[in-house]
Amino acid sequence: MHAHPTATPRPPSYTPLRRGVRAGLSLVPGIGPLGVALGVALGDLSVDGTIAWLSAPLLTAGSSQLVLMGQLHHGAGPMAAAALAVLTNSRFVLYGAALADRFTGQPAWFRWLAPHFVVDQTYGLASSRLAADEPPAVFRSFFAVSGFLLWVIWSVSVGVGLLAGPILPAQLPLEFVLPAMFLGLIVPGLRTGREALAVVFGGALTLVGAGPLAVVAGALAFAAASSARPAAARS
Amino acid sequence: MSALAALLLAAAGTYALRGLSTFVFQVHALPVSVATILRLAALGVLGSLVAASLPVAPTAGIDGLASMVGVLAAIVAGRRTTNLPLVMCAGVGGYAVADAALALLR
Repeated sequence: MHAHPTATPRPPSYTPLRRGVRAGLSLVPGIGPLGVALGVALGDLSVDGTIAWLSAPLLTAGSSQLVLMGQLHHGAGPMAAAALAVLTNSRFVLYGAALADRFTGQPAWFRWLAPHFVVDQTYGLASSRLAADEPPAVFRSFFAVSGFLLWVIWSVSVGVGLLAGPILPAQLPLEFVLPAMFLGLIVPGLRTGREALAVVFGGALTLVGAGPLAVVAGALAFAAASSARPAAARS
Repeated sequence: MSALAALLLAAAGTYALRGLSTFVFQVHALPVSVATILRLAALGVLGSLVAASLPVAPTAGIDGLASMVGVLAAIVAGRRTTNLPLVMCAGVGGYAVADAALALLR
């Protein structure tokens, strides 16, 4: 397509809104299967299915959902079960504090609603995809859209797991779901071939290496490959 | 009914954890160094989660002590470099080393 010489300049292809949508959708391959697996697990418990599903939109934190429903399943009292679930989510204090400066100067609706979307994935996205000096409006659009998408995808996938549990295999391969989720965080943020090579190299070494030091070897390999990247190539 | 009450309590508590820290630290502006350490600590937590999720991790689940080492490693690394992948790797590596050491000790 050829632009007319007198046409006004087109806006950038990647507006904050579009970046948020792309970031949110990039999480689907990771959190989709995880949500389904969690739904299946929750469906096996004696807790009412509607309440089990409600935990997805209200808590939006898989581990604490499982803790809460598991405790109720085993007969714990509401206070004790809720306290354990909240304790499981204590890491969110750090995420919230780390994002505090990004929330400063935002409209009230955002400051009240957006904290609900503070989870591992959205914190990772905001840290890796946005520069620290981005204007507040850019952060607001990106975080609100990606967080809302994550919330919807998570709620739907947990619901699918609850409904489809009886026809799914009894043992889902959960050991691959969590790494897939974190890969979903890392891979879409890669911008250069060298970055991709660093991830492939580090990941391969982790998988090939045997024993307890395999993770360390992979992490060190990734760090070495990443640090070898020329400064000019960094965005 | 008690299950619904527990869910609402947990949701309120979790919102408080997520939201109060952002509000509190907005009202009382943190010194830059403290804010930096908090940001790096959060990255360390994320790094520890990544390490704990890997199929080759020596132990299942997240060990509190190993996570703490991962967080500290990310903070130390972050004071020396602004390269985000390196800081994350320090979190992953710190967690993995501590986790492996704990597994050997047990």
